[in-house]
Amino acid sequence: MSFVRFMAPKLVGALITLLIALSLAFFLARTAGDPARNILGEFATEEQVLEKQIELGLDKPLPVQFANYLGQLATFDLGDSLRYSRPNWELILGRFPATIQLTLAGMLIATLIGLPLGIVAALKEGRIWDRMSVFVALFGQSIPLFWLGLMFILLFAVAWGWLPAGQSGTWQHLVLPAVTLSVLPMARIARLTRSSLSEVLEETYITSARARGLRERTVIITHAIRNAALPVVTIMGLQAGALLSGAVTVEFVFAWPGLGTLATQAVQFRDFSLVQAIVIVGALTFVVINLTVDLLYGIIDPRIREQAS
Amino acid sequence: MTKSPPVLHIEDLRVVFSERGIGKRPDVVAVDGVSLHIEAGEIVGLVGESGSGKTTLALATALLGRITDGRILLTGESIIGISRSRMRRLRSRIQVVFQDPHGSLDPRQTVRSGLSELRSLHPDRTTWVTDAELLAKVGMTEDLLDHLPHELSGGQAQRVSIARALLLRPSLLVADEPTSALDVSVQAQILNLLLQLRKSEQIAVLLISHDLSVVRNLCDRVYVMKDGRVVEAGDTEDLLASPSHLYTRRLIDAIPGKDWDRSALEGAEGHGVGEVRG
Repeated sequence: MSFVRFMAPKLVGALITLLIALSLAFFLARTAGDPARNILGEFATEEQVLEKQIELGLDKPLPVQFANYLGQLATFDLGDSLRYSRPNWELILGRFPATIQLTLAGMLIATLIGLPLGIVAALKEGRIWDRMSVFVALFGQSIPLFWLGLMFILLFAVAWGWLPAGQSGTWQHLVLPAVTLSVLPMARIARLTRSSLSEVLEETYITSARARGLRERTVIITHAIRNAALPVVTIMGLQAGALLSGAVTVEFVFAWPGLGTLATQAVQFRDFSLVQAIVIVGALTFVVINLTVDLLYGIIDPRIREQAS
Repeated sequence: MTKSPPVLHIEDLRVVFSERGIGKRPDVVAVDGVSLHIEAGEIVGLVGESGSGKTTLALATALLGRITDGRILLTGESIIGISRSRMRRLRSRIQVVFQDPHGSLDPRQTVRSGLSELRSLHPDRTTWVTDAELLAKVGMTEDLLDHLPHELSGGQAQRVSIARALLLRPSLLVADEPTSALDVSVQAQILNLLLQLRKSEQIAVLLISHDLSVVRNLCDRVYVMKDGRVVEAGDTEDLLASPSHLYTRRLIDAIPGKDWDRSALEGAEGHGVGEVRG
């Protein structure tokens, strides 16, 4: 029961977030120029354009269009792509696995490097290891992704020829885009792990654990790291969401056939229907990830679950 | 009668905090040549204002802090310069109860798992009592065993800390302001518990406090610390009745209400208390 009580407000919040995202997707897509004209090309007559507008329902007033749009979504209909004349669902599903693969790989690298980096930094606070990891974190947070991607391509693909410069297929194709994508979340994870852990290490129960004769390793692993985990899990969840947007840039640079590339192309061709659909799927993914993080909270920290009840 | 060595013997202890590198601040001498001793079953108070070095001294005593110079003997055995594993074993003989009752319990550990962690750590010292018996000793019932720290009151959390310390049968309990975070009614219960444990378990207690009324009710002897040095020491009654150091008088004078027998203080009133106030 307390679990329902804990999750219910979060679900409502998630739905509201989703609704706002849907509305934004709708209105922003309509600021991008006339799709009817764009589809038909510059030599189309006014009659042809008007006809196309009627076909797409663009002649109706905006509120009516919005109502129709919501009605469609309620039946899980994401509409058809203007450019490809195929259901948006199909296009998105076709590209989704590639983006998921890239995002997961990026997150995995970010976690595998960021976590130990943060832990080492916290344990050696003020020493050379700490300074180095702070530097790496700062570097990772301030570097532009597209530039880093290009530099990786120049070095590893062009100059040394170790790895392919773009496209997908084998694990070698995954390395450069995944590493590029991992840099920002890795830096954030490292920084937060460091600050969270060094805060916990100052707690009395850590001193107290030492006073009871626990080995330093046990003190760190069972008492310090477990208690420092909560904010780190949060940031990892948020990063997983942010990775989706990072993926747009990285996919573009590496010609990775994922959702990001699809979105870029859709924007270029003013395929507002597809852009809308991609934004909706992105928002949905983000909301689901956040709900999962909230759920994890409750499992990691019993205090949070009980506050709700 | 041959005298057994004191539970704790500190000789000329110095603790200096210094920074390294360019632009460092000057060294801070937190404890400056302190000597003290505690006999078995004795409750000894260590008083002083914040910043007087009493907590630094306590942490050093409990092998948790820095020791720059000096000797610390625990039941006659030096605790300085020993191996880590030896030190871990020695720790069971000296246990600490901290000021913040909730802060000294891992928020994710139930009372039971905290105790069982200790049992697996020091199997040889912890078989003497069951969890339920142990909780009974500190005035708690075993239905609290599966509670997490946030489900305990401040007083209960402090009792758990004391129980955890007790489980290891320490010869010395260092209590660093054990009641200052608690309600007044609960304070009295915890202090009574310490008195009772001294009697039943023969534990010596080093009680660190800024509250002289607590010290007076509990301690056999008192050390007064100021700026890292012991400025005065002696039997509690004598020392509070006729403090010879100005600082001690000021501490006595600073007690709100002075809820004890004022006649004991009258001896001190004539000499210079007014000057300090001015």
